[in-house]
Amino acid sequence: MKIMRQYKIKFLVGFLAILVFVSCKKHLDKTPYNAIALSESFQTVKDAKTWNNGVYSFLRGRVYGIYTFSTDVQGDQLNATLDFGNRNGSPHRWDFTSDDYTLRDVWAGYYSAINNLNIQIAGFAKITPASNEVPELNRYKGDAYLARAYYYHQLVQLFAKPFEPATAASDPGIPLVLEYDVTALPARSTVKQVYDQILGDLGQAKTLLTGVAGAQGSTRFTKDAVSALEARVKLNMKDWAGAKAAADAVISTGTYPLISTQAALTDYWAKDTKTETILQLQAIAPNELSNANNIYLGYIPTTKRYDPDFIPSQWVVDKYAGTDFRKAAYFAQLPVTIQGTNYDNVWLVNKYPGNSTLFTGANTNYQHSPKVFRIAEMYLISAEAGARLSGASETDALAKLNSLRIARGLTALTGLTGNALIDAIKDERFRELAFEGFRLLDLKRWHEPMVRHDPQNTNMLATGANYYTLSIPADHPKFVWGIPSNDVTVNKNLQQNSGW
Amino acid sequence: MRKHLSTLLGMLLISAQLLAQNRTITGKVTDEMGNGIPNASVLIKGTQIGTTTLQTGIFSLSVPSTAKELVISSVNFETAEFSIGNSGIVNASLKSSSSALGEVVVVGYGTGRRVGSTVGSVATVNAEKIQDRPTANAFDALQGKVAGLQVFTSSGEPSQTSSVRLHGVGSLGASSTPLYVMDGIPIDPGTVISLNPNDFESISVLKDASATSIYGSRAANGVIYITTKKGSPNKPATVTLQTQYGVSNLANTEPFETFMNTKELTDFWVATGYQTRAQVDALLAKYPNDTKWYKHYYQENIPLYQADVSISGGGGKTAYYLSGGYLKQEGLAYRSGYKRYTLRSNLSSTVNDWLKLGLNLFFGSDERQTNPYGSNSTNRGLALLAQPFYSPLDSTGQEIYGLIPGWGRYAPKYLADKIQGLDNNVQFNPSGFIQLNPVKGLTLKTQAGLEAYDLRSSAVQLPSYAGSLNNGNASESFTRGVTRTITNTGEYKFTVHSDHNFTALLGHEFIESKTPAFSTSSTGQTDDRLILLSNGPSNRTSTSSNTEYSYLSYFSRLEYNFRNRYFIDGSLRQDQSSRFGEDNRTANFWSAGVMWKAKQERFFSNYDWLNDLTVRANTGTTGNSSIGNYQSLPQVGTNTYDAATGWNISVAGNPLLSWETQRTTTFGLNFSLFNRARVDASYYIRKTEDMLIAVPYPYTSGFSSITSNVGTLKNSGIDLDIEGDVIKSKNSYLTPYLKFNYNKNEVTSLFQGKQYWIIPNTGVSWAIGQPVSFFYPIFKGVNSQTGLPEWYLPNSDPNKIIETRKDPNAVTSTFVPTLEQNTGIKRYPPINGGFGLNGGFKTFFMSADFTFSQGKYLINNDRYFFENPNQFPGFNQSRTILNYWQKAGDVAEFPKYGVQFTQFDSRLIEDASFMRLKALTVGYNLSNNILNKGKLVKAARFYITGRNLLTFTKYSGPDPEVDSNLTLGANPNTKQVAVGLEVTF
Repeated sequence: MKIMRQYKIKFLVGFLAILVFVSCKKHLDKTPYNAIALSESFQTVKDAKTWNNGVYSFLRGRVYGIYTFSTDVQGDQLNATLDFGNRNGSPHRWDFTSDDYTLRDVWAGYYSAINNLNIQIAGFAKITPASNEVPELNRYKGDAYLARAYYYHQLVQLFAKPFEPATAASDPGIPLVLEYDVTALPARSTVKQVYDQILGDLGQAKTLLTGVAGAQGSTRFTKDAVSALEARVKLNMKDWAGAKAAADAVISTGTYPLISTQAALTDYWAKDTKTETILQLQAIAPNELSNANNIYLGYIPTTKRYDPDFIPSQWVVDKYAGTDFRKAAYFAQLPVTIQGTNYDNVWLVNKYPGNSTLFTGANTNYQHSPKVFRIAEMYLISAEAGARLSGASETDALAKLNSLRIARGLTALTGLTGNALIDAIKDERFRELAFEGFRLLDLKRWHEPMVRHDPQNTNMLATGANYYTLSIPADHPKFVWGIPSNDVTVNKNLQQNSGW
Repeated sequence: MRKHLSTLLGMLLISAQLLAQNRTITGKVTDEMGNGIPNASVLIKGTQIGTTTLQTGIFSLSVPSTAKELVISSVNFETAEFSIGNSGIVNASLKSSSSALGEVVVVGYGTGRRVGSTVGSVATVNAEKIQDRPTANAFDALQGKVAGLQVFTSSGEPSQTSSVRLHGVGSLGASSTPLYVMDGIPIDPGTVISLNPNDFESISVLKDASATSIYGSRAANGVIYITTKKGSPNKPATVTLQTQYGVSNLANTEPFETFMNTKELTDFWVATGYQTRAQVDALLAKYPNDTKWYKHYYQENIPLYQADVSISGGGGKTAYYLSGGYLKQEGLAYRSGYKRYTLRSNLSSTVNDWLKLGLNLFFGSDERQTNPYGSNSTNRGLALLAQPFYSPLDSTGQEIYGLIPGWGRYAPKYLADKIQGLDNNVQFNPSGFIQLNPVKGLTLKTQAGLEAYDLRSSAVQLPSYAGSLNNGNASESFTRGVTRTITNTGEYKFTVHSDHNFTALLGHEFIESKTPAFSTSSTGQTDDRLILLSNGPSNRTSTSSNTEYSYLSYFSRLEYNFRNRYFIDGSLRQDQSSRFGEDNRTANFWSAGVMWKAKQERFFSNYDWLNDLTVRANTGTTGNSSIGNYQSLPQVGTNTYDAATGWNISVAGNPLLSWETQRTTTFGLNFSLFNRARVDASYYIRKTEDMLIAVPYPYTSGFSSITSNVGTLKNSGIDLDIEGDVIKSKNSYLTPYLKFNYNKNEVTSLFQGKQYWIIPNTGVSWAIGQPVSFFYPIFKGVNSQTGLPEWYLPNSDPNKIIETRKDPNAVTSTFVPTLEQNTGIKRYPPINGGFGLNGGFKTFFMSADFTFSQGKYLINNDRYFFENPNQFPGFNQSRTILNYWQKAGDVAEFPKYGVQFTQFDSRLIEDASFMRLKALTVGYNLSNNILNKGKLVKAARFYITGRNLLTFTKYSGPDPEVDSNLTLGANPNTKQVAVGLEVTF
């Protein structure tokens, strides 16, 4: 009997042990908590709205920072200080190579955004909106086309030769990726094909966003943003009439008057007031911040002095007349400490001092709501395009130029035509759009050399042949950025630019 | 058999002659299954008179008539006493010892078996090599202790864990870290630092397919099995107290001494025209110092302290081991340190003859701080860029507490005080088992274990920090990791016709892991006394995350041996992992092995000098799934714009993703000679297939890489383990050893039809037919006429850059990335090992353990900063740059001033082969005479120990041991000297 009982216990315990052999099949299906399946993301217009919000989040991450200042650092207006620590050093010295992080990050940043747009353009077609949802969905579609046009235009400006009507059909452009397919190995389209695609997307956007009126400081795309991009694209294409028409279309809305006082212009840059802004991107501290143009000041809180990476050349500051409101809005004479040595009254770029409402600490984080399109550029496009057209357009060009000059505290110019007019417009463009990423691309499309000269006190500056005495001829291959080495290596269909 | 009998007879005769008044007893010592135990010690109780058993377990001993009992002991078995009857025959059966697990091999599940009776290759490092080390990291002591196991400790942070690789790098994409198992439950490699090494009975390394295949999933890189200490039933309680105090210093200061002093630097500036003499004079008038900055960024003679108490023993059917430990070690860099409290309770109870229970509990709490200013931070990692004429001392010689004038950085102690970071990890590893033996030979076991940790990371920037005055910030993040493992096994051991021994095992295992986490932060704290999250009114943020994975496995093993002479074993295992898509989730693994204990053959029995000869061969497969979770699914992640959620594609996904598999084949041989020399040698081939590699994609795809199953890799090599007893006498012993591994690594196929792939910005290349190698521009030298640097042009056909081209007539002075070509330098060191010796004389003991790595190379990224005066003008530089080209005809190391001195090229790839005196210990066991007077103390020993006392290397950077392709701003390894005392009551 005792033995019997022991066997029963053994049996019972053994049975309990076997119970642990539970079927765990369902425990093998694990899905992430921070993401959803791509296949489930295009079901409703609400899904489209969420995708659309991502378009702006991505765009905010692809303006300012390296997307804006890399070409300025490469250009002729800035000099590296002794404390620049080789940050952005290789573009500044023009000794960067195709494995440079700046090239890679800009290229990869734009293409990752483009792929999201391709997914959306294809995905939105699968959503069946209710009739009252059609305008909303159209707006999201239009946003996707416009954003794609913007990114391709940025890419083609940086990584290809400027558009020359005679050679655009044969000059290598950039790969056009219009469908989401990770296995694709696209070859480079020609510059013309790329611009044609941009114009095509702009056309789609124009139709789809026709009902979206512009507003000062809009944080989403509007029909004015479509026109602003169209003006910029067509200026680059030397489609003077088209560029002028698009720029004038924005100007003529009257929505965005030019700022004409010192105080308002200073606030426009320091406090992100909206008067001249066609499109800016929303920034909210602390979670929604953009890239920062943080290379110009280097504020040291303990000493209340500055330790910048890059400072403007003296000749650049001197380009601004004493009465020019922009001189005080874009620059400041500040005390600097470089390599432990103090220098006072050094001209620093103060266009991006940091908006105090976006600070996340006691001191500036150089954060702003990034400005993507603003009206002053439209005046300059209209003027430049007009000046290139002959006859009556020149008069209008001078008028547009003078509108801007007068607003900025300068006097009107008179009697200018031909090259003199164009030079005056170029000078104004130099002044107005300084440190907004335009300068090097302007030199490139104008086929002008990049010549650094007349710096401030050279004791503060990094020395060597590639710094403040650097002179680059107009035909230098590195005006056209190299295709990142990763893509050239992985994608056998991709041809590198010459000189890289 | 006849031979044995004649020996026996001979012994009997001799005994009879010498000890006529004694009587002779004979007998056989066997294990529980009746197998003879060779070399067991048979002693007359209370005397030193004794003998050892023969191969068959038979012994014969002449005993005085007064002798009543024999004490019989053998490794792996519990010592037992047997009374001498009148028959003169003592047949003794010894029980396998659970307390001597160091000698029992755990080849995955089941009840474990004796050393030498498994087909699989298992190397074991016992407690004495692991405990009492002046470091928190138990695996640091494994360096050079196991042939084939490469262990590197990559920094001098007290909380640094070791990187471990067995037989080379096993995968190009997935992890190469072995599977870590503690008492049957898999643990995370990072957990090791939280454990108390003094609790370890042994660490076993399972090397070949027969040993690892039963672990199937995740065992492709070998298995490291930690066995913790256990008590023994029927043993009185033993209390052990251990304490140790030591100090740490930089292991090597030479690299820091190569920097220019004030005169050298300023003379260089004047000579190059960077500054005029007048400018320099003005500067030096203001800053008349000559500072060696490393002495201010690294402290000296920093203390470490550890203490442990353990109680082990057993009463009746229960055995216990309880311990508590404390360790505190500070790092040499500021805000670097480690403090640990541990508690362990290992209990087991043999309830009756068919039921056994056990419960192991480990609890640990540790605090970690790691210096955050590594990489290219000038607050430590690159602080040697500081100009020597600045000083961290004020005019009165006091350390400046704040901004250092000129240098413009805050004093490191100030930064450490004002910007604080602390990680607190609470570790809980319980496991329990129920074991049933319903019938003889059958063992059913259910084991459940948990690995759980709560990691709280706190960071504060005090409001008084001058860099952000009156605006402090605080953040807290909290991660809970819970991995539960349930294992059920059934094992049946049986013998057929007394010669055929079988062991069959069936099992099931389920592992599920969850890691939820959240973090939150705020800013705007204004008072150093009020720095809680809630004291910061601004920028309040919160985030959270959660990840999970699971494995479900079924496995079986069959072992057979004939007369403990011929062994065969095989295993089968099926694994499923949640990391792969439903259709590709399942993989099957297997192994088969044979072993021949040749010495047991009659024809070898004549060779007395040969004590053991065993030959083994096995082959099998294992898997690897050590990649991130959810990578098979294309995913849409979230972002934020205008206070609303947005979507973007976040993971490309690869629905075809499946297991990486590996096939390992091993041939082994071990023998021992003259009872003094022991040799274990093996040859292995590991072939990895379907590697989980982040395959590069063009950025135009939206992704830089997508993890896919591609490519194959081969590692082959030899392990050699030699040990000898140079002196083996009653009073003294001296045992030198050598552990050696040579590993040949070869990429055998890649992806996208490529012949090679250079991982961007790493210099590391995978090329078919080559080991993982450095592909970098090869520097030829400085042209003595032009003063320009020159690099060899690689073969112009990009597919041929695998063939190194060093044509002196094909050079360029223009540095472009396309100069990359095969440098012929291997990324992973082919030769690793250790050697040393253990010795003792009377009550003194000593041991010395060296570790070495040969053919180890490292890109010294520090030199890019320290030897580049044009890129980093105004900063201090290494003295080496003074050798720059100045005029035609100069043969110089660096080009002319104005040209970039240093590029990322072959010059930076330095030979970081090294040899280190990893451990040196000298100690003294207090003699029994002294101790017995107190009656209380059973044993006591006193020792002095050192770690990393000597380093031999050609490497010019601060630490050759960094396990990486590239090092920048390393917090280098440290050396320790410590004294310790251990008392047993």
